[in-house]
Amino acid sequence: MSSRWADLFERAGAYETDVEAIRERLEEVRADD
Amino acid sequence: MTEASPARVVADADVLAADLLVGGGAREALDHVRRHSWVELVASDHLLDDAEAVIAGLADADLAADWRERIEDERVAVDHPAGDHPALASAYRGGAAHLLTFDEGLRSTATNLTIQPRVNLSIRTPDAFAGLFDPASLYEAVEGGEYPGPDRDPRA
Repeated sequence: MSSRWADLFERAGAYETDVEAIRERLEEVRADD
Repeated sequence: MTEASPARVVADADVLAADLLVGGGAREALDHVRRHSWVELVASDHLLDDAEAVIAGLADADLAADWRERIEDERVAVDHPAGDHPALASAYRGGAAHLLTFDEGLRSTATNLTIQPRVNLSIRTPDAFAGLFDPASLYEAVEGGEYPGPDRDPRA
């Protein structure tokens, strides 16, 4: 059974990131494809 | 090619990851989708691969895997060639009228698709989508009749 969104969001709250870091990481991921 | 539906939404990998890891406009936008069973999130495996890799890189692999399992329960799956932009191709192949992204340059990549867009696709930031989302008028256009309100718990 898959996780509840509430539980996923709670676990994700342990990490500090922002949209800019996500954009940079995504560009790296797509550059590696 | 599927006819575009205003109730079908694609979120680029940055928005999917921001929904989980940041919140803000990305979560507000995708909460609109999660609240309504008749609003569909369209995503290819390629698109989910990208988001999962971002989540694993910025958080951890276990969280990314659990997120992948959950999002696969909800998305409408589409397929497209590996060389296409995953978000744009998901939108065109899946007949989505809305594409949410933080990438300001995404519009220009449309010309690189192996399929040519024949549908009207609105490409917006999640914040803009969340601000403009009007479930009552959308429900009337898509389902017909009076909007009954949200029918799902977005945190379930």
